[in-house]
Amino acid sequence: MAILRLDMTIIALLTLLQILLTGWQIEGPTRIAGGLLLLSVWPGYCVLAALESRFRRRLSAPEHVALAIPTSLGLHALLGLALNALGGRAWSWLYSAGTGGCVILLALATAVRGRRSDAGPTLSRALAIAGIGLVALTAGTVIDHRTAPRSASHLSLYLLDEAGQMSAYPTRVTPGEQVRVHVGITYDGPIPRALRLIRSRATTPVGAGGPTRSALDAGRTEAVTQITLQPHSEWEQPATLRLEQAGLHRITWRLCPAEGGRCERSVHLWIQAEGSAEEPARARARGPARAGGRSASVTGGALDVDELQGAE
Amino acid sequence: MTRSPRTGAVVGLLVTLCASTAFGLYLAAQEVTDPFLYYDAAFVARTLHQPRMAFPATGPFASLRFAPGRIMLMLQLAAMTGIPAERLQFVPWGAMLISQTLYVLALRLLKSPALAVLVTLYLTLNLSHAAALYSTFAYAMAVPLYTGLLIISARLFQGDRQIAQPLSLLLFCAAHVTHYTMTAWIVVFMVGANLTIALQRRRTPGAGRCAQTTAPYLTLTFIVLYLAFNRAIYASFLPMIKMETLEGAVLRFSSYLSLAPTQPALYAYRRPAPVSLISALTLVVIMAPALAGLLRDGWQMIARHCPIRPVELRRPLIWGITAAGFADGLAYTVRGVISTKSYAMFFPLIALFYAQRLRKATLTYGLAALLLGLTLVKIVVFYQASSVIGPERLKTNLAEVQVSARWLHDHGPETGYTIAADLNLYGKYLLAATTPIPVLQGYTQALFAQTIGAPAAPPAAPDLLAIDLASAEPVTGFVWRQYPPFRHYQAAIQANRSLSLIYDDGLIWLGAPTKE
Repeated sequence: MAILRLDMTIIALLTLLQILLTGWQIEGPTRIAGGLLLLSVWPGYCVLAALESRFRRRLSAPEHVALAIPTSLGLHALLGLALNALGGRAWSWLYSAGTGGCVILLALATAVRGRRSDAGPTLSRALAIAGIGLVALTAGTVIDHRTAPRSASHLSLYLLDEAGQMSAYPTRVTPGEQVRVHVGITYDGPIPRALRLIRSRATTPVGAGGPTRSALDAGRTEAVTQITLQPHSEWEQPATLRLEQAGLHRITWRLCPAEGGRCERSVHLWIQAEGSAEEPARARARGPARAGGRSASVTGGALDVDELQGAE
Repeated sequence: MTRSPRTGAVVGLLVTLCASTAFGLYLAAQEVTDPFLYYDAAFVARTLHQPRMAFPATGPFASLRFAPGRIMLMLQLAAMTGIPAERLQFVPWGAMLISQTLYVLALRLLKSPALAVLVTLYLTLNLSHAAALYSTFAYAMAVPLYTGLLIISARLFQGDRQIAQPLSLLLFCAAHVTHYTMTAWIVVFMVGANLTIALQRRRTPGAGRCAQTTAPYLTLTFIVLYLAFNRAIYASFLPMIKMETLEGAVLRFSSYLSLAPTQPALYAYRRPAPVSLISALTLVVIMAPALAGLLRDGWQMIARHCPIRPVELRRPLIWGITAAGFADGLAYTVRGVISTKSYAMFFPLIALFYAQRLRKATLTYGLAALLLGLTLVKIVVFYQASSVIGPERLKTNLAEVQVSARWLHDHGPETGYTIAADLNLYGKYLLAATTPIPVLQGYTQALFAQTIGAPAAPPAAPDLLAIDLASAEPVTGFVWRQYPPFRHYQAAIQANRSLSLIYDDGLIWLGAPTKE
């Protein structure tokens, strides 16, 4: 007398549930667990169950499960690639429904073919199937919790070239020549923040060795800007520099809390000032370039600051 | 009431599944991943809403055409589960699949559920190979195919061919489109196993000789398919064989064992000593009994005066696995890395198999328990040394890299540009869909030295340098070369006169090399 094989019945029901969840685009742990099983266990399990009588020796429950995994992966990979070559979309809902439908048909066909003598092995297989389903559901719950969208709060400080791009930063100028860059900040956080943007400069005259680390850390402060940033805000201003003294200059911008304390962000440019004096004279005749009245200039190494106003 | 062996085997299956999945979920929470997996996930993210999967001929995704099957499986996984493509790499899929197939293979070879549980947990909890195995990397899909073929081949060699033969062919073809290394493993395994059967039959004339049969036509089919259709071997494998890659392999292996390389590279990454020590110790515990057993068994098979067990059904599997393991080690060495993956994964089975032959249960169970114990100690050691897992942040996560990726997208050149970055960071830029896709310039000794301001022959400077300040992991560069994390060189980078720092968000620095 035929009996309903428990393992195949469980598979048919779980696959049906998975098709509905995928079709309705319902996301969550059950769909994750069902998807994992439909992709990596059920098809192979059903195929092997259908072909079981052709094996000389019966498959044991663990063997059946273990062989179901590579068989499922193989079937999905090869069928998917074949469909893709024919112009089909093997990752669409239709594909899930199609393969799920085949699994259900195969499971039901195999389920009613079982005999009473199969009851023992079938019970251990049902135990294995149920256990795997439970583990997959637990894993699905954790995975679902971890895949919730996350956004990171951030504060970034950056420099752009004269054209507002990141490709042509000034590296070599003649003394006195004007160079212009853009300084920008992006901020995303829960509360408004009051910050100071500090520009400093460390110079190594021509012929001297490289600046020492302490000299670089200290530099000479040339401009301080008070800025208050709202959540989800951006701030960007042009800055015009004129390096009169020949040598290697490191111009540093640091972003520090307005109330004092350790600076949080820092960017810098290395600019070599060298060449004839005629070029700077010509450059000076052109006058400092200003953009929106919010530029800063540095002349002769002395502090010469157009105090920038914060962008509240 | 005594439990039947059948129930014991099923309980063992579920125990390994539970423990492996739980550990996989922990690794996912730690965001452990393989740097190359970002390429796959990024391509899946770009293809998921396309009508067809088509691989570009050039660019970072071009090499994925060698293994389209695994991309297809990832696409299907994303569609069926609804998990976002960028999170696929943190799904402990491999932990679930590998634990099941490996457990059954161990059960078949060792015939003891308890031993099978111990040896399977040894591997699935093993942090040395966790990044490649636990999630959706190529190995996570390909190892079950290989292991499945080993399980079915046991039936094949016993003459149960009607289903075993077509099933083996299916698994081979699936492995072929999923991971080219695994196809080579299968071919070498089949050759090794067939030769062993042939040798056994030659040595045992008479009654027991018909117990196993070879599968020459199937093996030949595999070889022909492999040589005719495996494009990766001609396009990617053979051109990589050169002195530089061999040198890289030796350096990396020296780092693995914490040994001083013969020609110390100035900036080669050395793993923390406890991590190397426990890894080396585990390798010795596996390889010593396995090699001793193989040598003894090999001698018995060859030397005519030695008695041989007439019908040893498991011997072809053992020798097939051995052949595949050594071939894999050699193949990766010429590609720049001495791989211990196959030794770590399958040689414990060989070690335990030969330990069982000594008929001392204490010894066999002791060895299995020792292996699992070493794996557990490894978890503690790795955690304390912040290697793979750790109490502190080990690298910047994708949400945090999105900020600089958006900046690159907004301000980067409209045409392509080159970027020097660690493979992990570059992968995150790929995943963050930065456009245009920057071209990766992998770190070399010279480029690494140039980045930290040390004197070096100037390499071709990239347009941009990206530095993950939060990363405690080694910088992975060209042909698997590894360098110390940049976080140790922050002051040196800031003082580097040939590098302007143009972006700082506290976690990522972007630098523009000063071009003459």
